[in-house]
Amino acid sequence: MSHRRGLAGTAQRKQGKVAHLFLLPWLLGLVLITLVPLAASLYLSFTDYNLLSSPNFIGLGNFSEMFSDVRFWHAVVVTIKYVLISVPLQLAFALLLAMVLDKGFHGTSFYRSAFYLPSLLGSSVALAIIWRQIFGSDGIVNSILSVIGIGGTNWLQNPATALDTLVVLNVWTFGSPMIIFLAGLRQIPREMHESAEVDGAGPVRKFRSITIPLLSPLIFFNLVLQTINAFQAFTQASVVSRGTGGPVDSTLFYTLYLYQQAFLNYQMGYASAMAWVLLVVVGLITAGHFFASKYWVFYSDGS
Amino acid sequence: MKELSRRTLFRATGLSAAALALAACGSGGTDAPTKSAGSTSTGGGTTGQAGGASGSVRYGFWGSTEREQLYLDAFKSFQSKNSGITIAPEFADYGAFQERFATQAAAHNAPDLYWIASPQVMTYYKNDLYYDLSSLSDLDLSDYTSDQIESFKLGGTLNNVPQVSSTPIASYNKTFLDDAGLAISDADWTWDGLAEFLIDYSKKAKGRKGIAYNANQDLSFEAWLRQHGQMLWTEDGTVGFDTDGIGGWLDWWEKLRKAGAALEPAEQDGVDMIWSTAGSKAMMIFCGVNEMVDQAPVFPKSDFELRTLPVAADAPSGWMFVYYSRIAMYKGIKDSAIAAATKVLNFDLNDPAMIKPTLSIGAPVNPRQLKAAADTATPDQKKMLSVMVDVGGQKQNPRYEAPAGTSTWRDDFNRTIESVALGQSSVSDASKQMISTLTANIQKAKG
Repeated sequence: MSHRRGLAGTAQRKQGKVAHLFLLPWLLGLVLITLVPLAASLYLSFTDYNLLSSPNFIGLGNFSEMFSDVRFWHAVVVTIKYVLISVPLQLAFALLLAMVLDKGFHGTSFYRSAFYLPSLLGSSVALAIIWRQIFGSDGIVNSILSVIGIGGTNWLQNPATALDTLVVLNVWTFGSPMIIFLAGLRQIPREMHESAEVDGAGPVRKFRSITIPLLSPLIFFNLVLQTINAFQAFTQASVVSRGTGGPVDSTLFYTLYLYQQAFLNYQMGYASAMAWVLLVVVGLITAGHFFASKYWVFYSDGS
Repeated sequence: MKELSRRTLFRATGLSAAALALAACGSGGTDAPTKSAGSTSTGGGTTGQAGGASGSVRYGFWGSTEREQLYLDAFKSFQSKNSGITIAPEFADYGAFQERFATQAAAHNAPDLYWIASPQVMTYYKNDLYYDLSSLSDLDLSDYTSDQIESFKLGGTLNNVPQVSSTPIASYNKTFLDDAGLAISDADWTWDGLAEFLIDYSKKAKGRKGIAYNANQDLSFEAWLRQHGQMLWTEDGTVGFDTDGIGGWLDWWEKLRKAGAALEPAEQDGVDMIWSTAGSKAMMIFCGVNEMVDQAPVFPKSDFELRTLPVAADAPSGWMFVYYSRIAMYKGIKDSAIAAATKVLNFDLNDPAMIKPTLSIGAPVNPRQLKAAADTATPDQKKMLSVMVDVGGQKQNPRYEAPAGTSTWRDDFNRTIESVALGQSSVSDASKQMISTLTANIQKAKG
């Protein structure tokens, strides 16, 4: 008996060795590509570092500078506006289309793939360049508007509308949350809808009392994910504004300002501090989401 | 075999990571530059060269794909005559080049020879990125006068050499002008006179405006300041203009824009106009004389001419100036690469094969190359050369490079102009804000 236990233990240990060996490349990547740069960034956030000379420790100097940096606060406002408008719109649109696709009709597979495509392209440089053309003074949007007798503008050069074009771009990449919602909708038992109908519930009541509560875990998941993504948005703002965050800083995302400070202003220490502030803020917001979720997210195990 | 536990695995990971990091720090790239003892902001210092002229020389530069090809062809020519030396080009678009160079410099791995953007000249000098070229006994500057060489120095040290020169001009589409039945007169070639002419043109031209809104053209702005008794930067590295100086410039542009004589920023894809958009809508732009050479071919059906900028009635003599684009050797270059890099630099500055590529940037600074360039220049390039020869012969008051901390002064300038043109700020407030921002950045860079 103990001999058999001994043999089993040896086999297990051997498997463990192999598993750890397979984990080693990933661990190396985690250390070299994530943890070491993270630690370096944390150190640099307490230094005056211009990339061209050695870092010079200045304590909390970078963090205190943020309080008086007018453009920093402007970037914060622009980013928060972007998050608060584009994330709910994107999720609402994704849910709407998921519900349409859930009806099931001829060609659903094709539409599902077609609606998912923008998600793949959304953060690409190529699409951002095309977006500039679409919303330019001679772009497709103005061409369509002129057909119906509305005079267009250069949407990207108008501070009142430039950010809106980026919101539209983010909403347009609804495919990823839509697929998740669609999978969730398919999980809702049809009997629940049928028995609600028997009890006289209309579509709105069914949506509010059955669909939303049962879908709430996935809504929560998408909300957290898309909020984090929106805070980190960079490519679209950089390409559409040609790296300036203009016009007049109306598209100056936090990450874009961080990039400008690091690589154009040679203020890598200050940029590192900004990165850590972003990390903490996004972490706090995510924690807030988790805290609030106990009031509106319902899991099938009753929690 | 000893059991592989989690503890052992993590220990192995940490040791492997450390070994890889040490290997990466020790291999490839160039040596980290070292400051001489007691130095604070020096631009050069390491002397001497070792080894024969062979090996690979990294050459960093920027521009269009056409320029890249011209340089690659010239490098091929060099390499065919110098079989032991390979030039490794590191080319990128202007913006991307600056950002990449910053990262390379941070890694102590900048190219052996590299072009210097004008806002960065003093920043790189302050951070000791320049090799002392006067220590290179094989460097051939025999074509330059001693006064020229003296004028190239920063802090008394020859740490970079201007390759090309440029000056601001007014470039105009003569075809557009002829279509409107108008001609530019020499009689009132002042700022006010030009403004009136542009307003008149815009009224008569069908659907076109007099000038693109390029108030952000930095060389023209500098010319304006010099004509009004001010300068862009002072010798001691401070802002050389006041609110009246920049305010007058912005007022001139706003007058044109409000009169419909200058494009709106929305019509030209922003304050930093896109030429292919603006060039079809406006008759005139201000630009560097070298830029006109690239811009003209975009509209092949139009004939472009150029003039020097208008002159204020009370402009002091010597307001004209020449802008230099410079090349330097990296302070941290490997000793073994110095001799080869010196040969490449000599080729870059002196060899006739470099005339054509150099003309893609501006007029050669080398007097012999400048004379020879006329033989191979295109008609537009000949116009450029003619202007540079003319300006070069005029009196020029001193001019100073942008101080450290002003790497993004053009972006600040763009934002200032945007805020005025889009009605977000008055000229007065925008001018004060810009001067305040530049001053703060300069102070911050001083440490």
